[in-house]
Amino acid sequence: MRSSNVLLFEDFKAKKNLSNTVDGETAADLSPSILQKGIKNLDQFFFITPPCLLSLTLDSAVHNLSNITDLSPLPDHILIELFLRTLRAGKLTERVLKLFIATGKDEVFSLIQALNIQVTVTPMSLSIKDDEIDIVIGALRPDLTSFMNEWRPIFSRFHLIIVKDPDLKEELKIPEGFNLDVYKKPDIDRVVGTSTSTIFSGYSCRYFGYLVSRKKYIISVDDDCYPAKDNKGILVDAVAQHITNLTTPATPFFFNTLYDPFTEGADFVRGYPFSLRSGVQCALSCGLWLNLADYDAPTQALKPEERNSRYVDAVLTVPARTLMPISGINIAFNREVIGPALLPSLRLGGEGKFRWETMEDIWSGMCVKVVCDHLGLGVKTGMPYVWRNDRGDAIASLRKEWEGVKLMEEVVPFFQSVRLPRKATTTEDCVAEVANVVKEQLGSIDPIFARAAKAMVDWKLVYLWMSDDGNQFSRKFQQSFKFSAFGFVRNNLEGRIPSNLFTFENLTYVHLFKNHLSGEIPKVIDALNFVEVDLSQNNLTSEIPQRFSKLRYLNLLNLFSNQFTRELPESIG
Amino acid sequence: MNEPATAVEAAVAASPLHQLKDELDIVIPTIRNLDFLEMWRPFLQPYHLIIVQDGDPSKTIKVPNGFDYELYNRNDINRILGPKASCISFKDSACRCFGYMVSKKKYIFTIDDDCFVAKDPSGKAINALEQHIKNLLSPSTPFFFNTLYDPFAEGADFVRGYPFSLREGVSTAVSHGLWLNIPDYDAPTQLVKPLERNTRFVDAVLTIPKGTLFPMCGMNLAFDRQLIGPAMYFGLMGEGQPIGRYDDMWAGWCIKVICDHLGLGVKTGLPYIYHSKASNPFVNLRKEYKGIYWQEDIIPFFQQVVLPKDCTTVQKCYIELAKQVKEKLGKIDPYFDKLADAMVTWIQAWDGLNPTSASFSNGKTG
Repeated sequence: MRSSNVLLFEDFKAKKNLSNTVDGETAADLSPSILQKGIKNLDQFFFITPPCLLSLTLDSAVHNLSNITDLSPLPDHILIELFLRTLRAGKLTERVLKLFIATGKDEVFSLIQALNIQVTVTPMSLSIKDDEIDIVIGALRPDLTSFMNEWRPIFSRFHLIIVKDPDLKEELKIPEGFNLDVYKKPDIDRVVGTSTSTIFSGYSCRYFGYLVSRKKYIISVDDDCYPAKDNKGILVDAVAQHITNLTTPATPFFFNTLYDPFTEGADFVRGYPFSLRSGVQCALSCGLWLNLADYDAPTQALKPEERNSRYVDAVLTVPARTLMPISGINIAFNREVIGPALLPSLRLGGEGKFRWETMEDIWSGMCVKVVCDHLGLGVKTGMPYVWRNDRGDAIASLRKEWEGVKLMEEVVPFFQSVRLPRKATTTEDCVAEVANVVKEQLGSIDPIFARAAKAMVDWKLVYLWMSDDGNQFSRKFQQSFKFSAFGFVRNNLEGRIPSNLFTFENLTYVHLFKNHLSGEIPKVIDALNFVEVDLSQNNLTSEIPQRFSKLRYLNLLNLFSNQFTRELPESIG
Repeated sequence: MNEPATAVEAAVAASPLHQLKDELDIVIPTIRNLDFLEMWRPFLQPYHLIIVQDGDPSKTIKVPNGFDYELYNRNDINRILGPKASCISFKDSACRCFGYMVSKKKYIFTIDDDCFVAKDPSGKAINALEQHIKNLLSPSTPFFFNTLYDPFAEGADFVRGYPFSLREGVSTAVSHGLWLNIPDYDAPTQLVKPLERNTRFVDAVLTIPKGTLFPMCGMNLAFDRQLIGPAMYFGLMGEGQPIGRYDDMWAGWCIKVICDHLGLGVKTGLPYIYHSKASNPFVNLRKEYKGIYWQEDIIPFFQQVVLPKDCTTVQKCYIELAKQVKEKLGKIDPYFDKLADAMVTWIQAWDGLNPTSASFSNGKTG
């Protein structure tokens, strides 16, 4: 057992050939895989070996770092151990590092120096709190271990929503140490009904995550992408860059030749009108990809060796009325402003499990751009980069029918011609208008567009119901809907259940449990197709309607934890 | 990257190819001297120079040995154009457009006399002209934005979702380069940030989408004279005029509207040059202030301009534009009346000096 911690890190340094930087040219490589390999070697030196109470306490401390404000009471050896575990967990953020430095302990400083840790200034806006962000991952492959571990230094601060592709049979493997919610097929079915849940298959599963999120900003990355490194070899914090993009203005009305004028070291150039320099709100941030770029199958088949190694150090606003292919691989958006417009609607007949076998994101992106242009919102493109892994065989995909590529020939001119009416002033209105135009103008060209238009209308309604606005509960209900499910679970819904809830013939699932609904259960039960009705855990009063007994298909009737005045009628049962 | 390349570094980077040697003229306006050309020698010596000497014509501008050139001072301009010389600015680098008019070549590269050779992040000297030529000789893609920037660059391509029918692109009329070190800011920005230097090397060329205007800087610019030359008029600036430092801006708005109408492309991005001289912001402010104020009306004007279908040549488009400038901007200030007239004079002078080009429409050589 070594007595001095400083000595043991001289050892480590020698083993790993780490060099202290002199002028900062080779900045800290906090690549988790390298550190993890190095730190594994250190296990043999640790004198606190699991499992023991102290060890478990330390693990708990690592999980609760965001609540800790002062580390100085800790004895030295425990402080060091905590530091190493924090590193290993990928939770050494700037704030946490400062906590350790504030203890003033020499061993901590030696460690920091030996491991070549440098405080890099993240561009993240200080006014954004971690709890305003959800990271949504669509899981198309079961083993997410290396994905999550590689992203750990960047993702572990945030809440994650992982949505499992409903078609994926195997169980998901997710490593520990994250604050996350996982949604699988049963959850999706429960919320939107089994007939609708098909729209969330494949890459579209992430849209379910967008639907259930309650946060202001969403960042979404494909499960075959890893953090990239910039030209200086520093790990790119894709989350920070997306947030910076979303929280600084966009400039769609006039092109700035020095690209993003709000970035460090740049500005508006001579000739840029001053009245346009305040910019507009940025609703969408589109990132790029190193290694495997987002090419279609023909391009990849033609150039199988081509890898994107060009790191372009720029963010720019896509000009108004200019359309582009918005890839879903690495994207972030302001959910409050543009959420309803990111929707799963275009499904190719031969849609597959590789990105180049889909067009759903390209289609959705066209809608989003048109809506943003109409509402005066900005869309940025450029950084951040992610590293996209090689996967799949484009030539095999080529043997399938080339729907997606053919469709774009119709899709692009169509969207270029779309003009939304002045009265469409909200995102939901715009989505509905686009759906109308799609149905009218494209519906006859190919049934795929007619289906897309219908999906857009249905989506808009689902989104309205799911959005966090309890005041609108009854108003939403006034709208006719064709959905088969109505789910609004674990929200702070208040008010009364509309009296016509049980008259909608299409409805089969009604899930309103765990809210604050009051008043009576509607007595008029004319629609007879209900399969599940769950009104439990509310503040409902009066009687339970006898007419529930008429529902022949009813498998589930949950009414517990309410304040009903009488008991269950005998006829139900 | 924070200093310009030396002549030796440029020599090392120069390729023996020197494309378009006999098809390209380099137009340089100057009032001082041409010492900067020493830095550019390895890249530019094979090409023909057109020097437009502004200011006092009795002064002699010495051109470094070994360059093949023609030089025009104010007396020459007056002699060659006669009364039409009124459209060429005096005491402003806008006079450079005389060089475009008098050239007989297909391509023009124009550069300011305070621009040196820049270095890329690896330390290699950048051959700006070579990159401009690459930009001009490969197609542009103005109808749909490619998120991986120039799809014709090494190692890049069109991304998924880019319609195949648009992948051929259109002819590139203009290549707009950028600047490291002293950025091209207006006077108010210069006053607020006098020490800001552009150190960001953005490794991209992109097509400016159709329908989008941009501020075109004349410091590092190349274009296809046969495709767009007659629209490259740099306006009435300098002595006797109420405005300065808007020459290239004006030309940029005009060419973009016309390129959009004729289906031609405009690229921006690489190459970088190293801009060494910061101009005096107070002097600049005096020249610019009317422009800053007027451009709030000028920009909407250009954004709304519609050119009729029968304008099928650059000259026709330009004359039509001049007409609309007179109608719609004339009411802002009598300057725009004068400018509109000068625009017409320019076309007449251009056609006079380039008789075979009178019937150019997009892309066809005369």
